[in-house]
Amino acid sequence: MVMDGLKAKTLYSLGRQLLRHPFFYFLCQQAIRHGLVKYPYAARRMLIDYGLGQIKEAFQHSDKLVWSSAFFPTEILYALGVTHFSPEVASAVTASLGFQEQFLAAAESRWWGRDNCSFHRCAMGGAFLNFFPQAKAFCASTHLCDGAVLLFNNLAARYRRPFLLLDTPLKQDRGALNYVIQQLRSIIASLEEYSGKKMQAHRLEEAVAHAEAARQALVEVNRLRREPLSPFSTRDAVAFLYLYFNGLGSPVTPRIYHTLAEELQEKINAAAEASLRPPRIRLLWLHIPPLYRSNNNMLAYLEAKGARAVFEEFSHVYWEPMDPARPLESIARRMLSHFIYGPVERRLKAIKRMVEDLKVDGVIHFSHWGCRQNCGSVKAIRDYLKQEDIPLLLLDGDCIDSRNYAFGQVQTRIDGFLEMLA
Amino acid sequence: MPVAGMDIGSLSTEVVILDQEHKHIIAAVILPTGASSKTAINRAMEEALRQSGLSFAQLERIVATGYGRVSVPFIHEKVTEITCHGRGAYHLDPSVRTVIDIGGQDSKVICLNAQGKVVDFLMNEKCAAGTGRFLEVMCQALEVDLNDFSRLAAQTNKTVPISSMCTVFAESEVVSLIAEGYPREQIIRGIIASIVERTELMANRIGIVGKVMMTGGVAKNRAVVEALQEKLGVKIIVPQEPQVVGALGAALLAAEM
Repeated sequence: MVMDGLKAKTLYSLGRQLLRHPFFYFLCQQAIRHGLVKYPYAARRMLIDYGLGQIKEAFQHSDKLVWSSAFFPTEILYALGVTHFSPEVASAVTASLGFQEQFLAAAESRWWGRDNCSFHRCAMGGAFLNFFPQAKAFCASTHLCDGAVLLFNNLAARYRRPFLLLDTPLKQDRGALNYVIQQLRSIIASLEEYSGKKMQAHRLEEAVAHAEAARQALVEVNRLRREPLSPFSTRDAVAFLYLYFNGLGSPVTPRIYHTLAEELQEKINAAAEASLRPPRIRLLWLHIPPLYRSNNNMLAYLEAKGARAVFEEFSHVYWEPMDPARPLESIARRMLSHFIYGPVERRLKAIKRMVEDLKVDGVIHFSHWGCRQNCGSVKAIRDYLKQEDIPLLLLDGDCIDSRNYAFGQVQTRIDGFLEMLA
Repeated sequence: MPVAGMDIGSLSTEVVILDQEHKHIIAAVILPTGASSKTAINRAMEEALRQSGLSFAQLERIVATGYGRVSVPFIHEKVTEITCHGRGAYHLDPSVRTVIDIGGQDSKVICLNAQGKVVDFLMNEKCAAGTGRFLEVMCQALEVDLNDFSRLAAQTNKTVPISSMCTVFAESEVVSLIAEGYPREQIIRGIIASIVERTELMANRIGIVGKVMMTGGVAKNRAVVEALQEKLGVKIIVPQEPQVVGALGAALLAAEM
């Protein structure tokens, strides 16, 4: 018994050391580049390679590492040349690899209650267990996710590092725009000080140009996803959200989206030539689907029943073209125009557009436990879709924490919804 | 040829067999599901065949519903209890537009259109509060037979509120109330109020439209139905045997396939 416990502890400690070592991620990259892992899309391979490179950098250069919240504008971080790490994205990756329970337990045993969003709880657990790279500073924005502000504040206090808050107003007027621009300037100045790196103006313009190129490429990907024979579902798209949260400002992001668009076009052509049939039922997924491993994956179950989540709202391009000549203004405009932030009418308008563009038969709203922003709009979404005669299924669940997932309950709801749509 | 519908729930298993013309019920069986749904399925089917005087081979088609629908080996189709309760209720009364079904482990409100098609539904959150199982646990805590619930509730007009949302906590609360000396009739009224409150919440969320029918085992409890009627301010019709409406719907769907 004692020996078993000792063995487990040793293995755990070695595992953690391995996961914290840049060389491990270098080896993973090599394995991927040499085709040891197969992916259905070359773009997916590029994406994983890019993600591994980022985490390798984070462990290698923690002296210039910044932790940024999911909606913080990464363009300024790319322009500064600092590496960055998103704990929410780390939670998503942790869940997709099946390690989330240990992290969640670590947070809960330290009084992080289960009512907190599991993206944050899992991230906090990872930090408590010392799995993540340490940062020079913590940057969080207030839009969309109020829990992130508290998480980052807490992390900054824990690591005794500065906490930089980007307060995003609800309004979209000139005053709000100037307020955000002013804060961006101030955050850049602080990060220059902490990282010892001076930002050159042309680097910021370049980063915004990359973000704009990524926007255009994503618009093309989304156009192709509207095609009835597009094989690319929410199941495939979830991994690519990494770029939306972490990659705006990087030159790699538009390249990955371009590759994806090319591959999608090829697959659509091939499906047409092979006279493949489109899915019987097309669905729009609101919020993020569960990310943990499960033998009863909801999206896979939908597909087994002849339905498909063809799009997810976080892939929606809501922001206007960005102008590299006005970089900070462009970033501020994108932040202020987020369709899930501010009055719920913005989100409803975007949902309507997605429903029309994608010609979906119904909508699934996934109410992620602990996400006030998302769950708070359920009634408005329901009333609106009812008025528009668009069927809606409400599913309660958790994106990261699998402990409350009872497949039978979800199955009945999904089956009932599909029977209703048939 | 005759057709059958099976509803395999967490607490009970029901089988309905319709005659050759699919117009009349020739067998209706209700059995506890117990620990093994497979055993319950076989026993209920055997009993239904005995009642109808048919052999298994004489059944043209069988449709299963309920949580155990996935474990029936001999069926032709699986359909959710949402569609089946809707279909069964519409068959019994085509003017019904809202169905409230409270079963063993879940409760739901189903909206039907004029053609009897399900157009919307809402189910309870992942919790047995307000369901048949909740009622059963409370009966055990009170040492009262479920059949006496309505009669005992009618003996008083005072209610002791049950504040716990969770079945397990509510059971502890009931035990504490007994220990504090509250009459069990008043506690029973509190339990009924608790079920009604949860159902009312769901009904208000989805919006009650047109004539309302209540199905499922809990509909047999007159006190619950009356309290729900009062709370919702609508008349609720209860079929003669509300517990077999899901199985009836399944049998009707088998006939239509």
